[in-house]
Amino acid sequence: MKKLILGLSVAALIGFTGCSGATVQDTETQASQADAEVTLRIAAQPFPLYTPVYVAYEEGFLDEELSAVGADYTWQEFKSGPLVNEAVAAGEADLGFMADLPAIIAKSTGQPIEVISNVAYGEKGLAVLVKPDSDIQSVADLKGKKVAYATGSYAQHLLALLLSNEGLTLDDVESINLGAGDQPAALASGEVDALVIWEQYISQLVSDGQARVLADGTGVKRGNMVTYAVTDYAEKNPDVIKAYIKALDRANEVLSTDPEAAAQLVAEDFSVTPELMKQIIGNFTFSTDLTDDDIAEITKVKDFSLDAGIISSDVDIDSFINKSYLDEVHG
Amino acid sequence: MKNNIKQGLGHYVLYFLLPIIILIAWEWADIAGLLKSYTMPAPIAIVNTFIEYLQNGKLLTNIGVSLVRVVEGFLLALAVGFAIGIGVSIFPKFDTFTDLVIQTLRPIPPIAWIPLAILWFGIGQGSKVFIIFLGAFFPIFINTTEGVKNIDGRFFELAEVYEIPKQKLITKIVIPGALPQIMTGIRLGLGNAWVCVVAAEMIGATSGVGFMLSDGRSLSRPDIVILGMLIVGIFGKIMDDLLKALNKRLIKWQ
Repeated sequence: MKKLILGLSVAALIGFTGCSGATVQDTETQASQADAEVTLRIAAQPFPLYTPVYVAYEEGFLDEELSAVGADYTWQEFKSGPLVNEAVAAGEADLGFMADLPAIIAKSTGQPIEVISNVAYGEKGLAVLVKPDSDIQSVADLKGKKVAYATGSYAQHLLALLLSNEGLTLDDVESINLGAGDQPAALASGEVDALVIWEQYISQLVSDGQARVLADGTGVKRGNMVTYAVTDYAEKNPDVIKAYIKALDRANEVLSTDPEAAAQLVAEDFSVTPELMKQIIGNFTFSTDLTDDDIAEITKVKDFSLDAGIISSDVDIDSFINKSYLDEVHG
Repeated sequence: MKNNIKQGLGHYVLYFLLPIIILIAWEWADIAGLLKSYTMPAPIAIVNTFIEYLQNGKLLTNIGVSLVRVVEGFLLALAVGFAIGIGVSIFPKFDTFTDLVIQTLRPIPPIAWIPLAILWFGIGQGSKVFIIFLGAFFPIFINTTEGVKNIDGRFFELAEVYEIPKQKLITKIVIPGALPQIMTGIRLGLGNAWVCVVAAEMIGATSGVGFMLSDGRSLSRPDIVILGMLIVGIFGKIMDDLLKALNKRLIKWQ
């Protein structure tokens, strides 16, 4: 689960093209990186919801910005926010990016973390899918049906919201805790009646004719993705956090000026074609800014989760969201 | 008399001493601030979660579901493991016929069957019972055959001399003779059944103690995880105690 992805060597490949003398395939470059004063251990998730971080990673922006402040980084990939939470709780990562709900869950259970930037939001980035020929025609039809989603992910929140709009709760469906990667097979084999899943799977399954969208977040859930850092780490290494934000800002610049190139660059990270990737990018707004709208949305998610019993203790939004690093970068 | 009571009391003090020491050390570590609630919650947090889950009904529902699965899978394994075990013990040709398949399947951990079990039997009851069956079958089967093998050969010789029919041989010699070891197999099998139910429910399930455990993991709630673990431990122990008591009644001569 916590396999160290090839990320490091890829990072070396991309990040050190400017460094003279460093042969790109040479893993020794990692040893020279060890000279850096501080390491940022990033817990990543290979989903297009986090496209800016992957662009920053592939373009070498993370390398450049972090080495400018004397830091380097490690990159581990996880399949969902709750798994990132686990790695952070175990003290194996300093920073992670994920959707609103898992970050709220982490804070609610007492993990010493704070949100330091936004990553993206997109109402169409998360959806309930059913088979094209399914007799489920509306959210109300989900009652008593088997629905697969990753427990503790923001998919759980969307499902709870959609159900509550129909006067139903999560207890009215048979919930199956499945990672996003396992869900398409479960739907195809008829093991489950519906999925609540995010991009790239929505675009993939729909374009393959394997599924249709029953409902997405449109008008229901803004779907914020955020970056959080371990509070103690951020306080000790403010420059590292700011460097991370700068790298994301540069990636967002690329995404807005040349989305085609960005899609080309990261499509492989998410196992999609560049064409599909470009379409997926169109479903999101990418920005590091934490606007009042973002904070209001996160607060709403928190309140709902508390009411629905997804979290059991309240989260103080002021100590959860720390805009000070963002403010310093953006001036 | 007085001495007896004293001895009994001393026994129980000793019996409960270790868990009490663990609880005190755990509580102390929490008070001393050594524990982080998100990696190791205080004992009281487990108690609170226990009460919460008792009140919302989740606890009893999940225990009930797991218990039914364990009993179903275990009884199936008992019937099949016992029958095949006796079969291979008294029919050498049947032993030869089945040996390669059984001995090849035996080292495969039941957990490795989970992906196939889900494909074959679905996410519901069937796949769980299948995994539990696999986990409980082998200890019962192997101990049954070993038990028969360890019966004094003179009994079989005598049975042959007196031309005792096979049916009588099984009920009067094979089963009583192998019973102690069969009971060992049953206890091991039941223990394995609990291991397997949790494993099977942690992957692709909608209910059960294992599901509760994996839910606790996803929601960053180690208190739920620990509660689930304790439940498996306590129920496993109670069922083992029941079997031990049954063992004592069945095998009086030991």
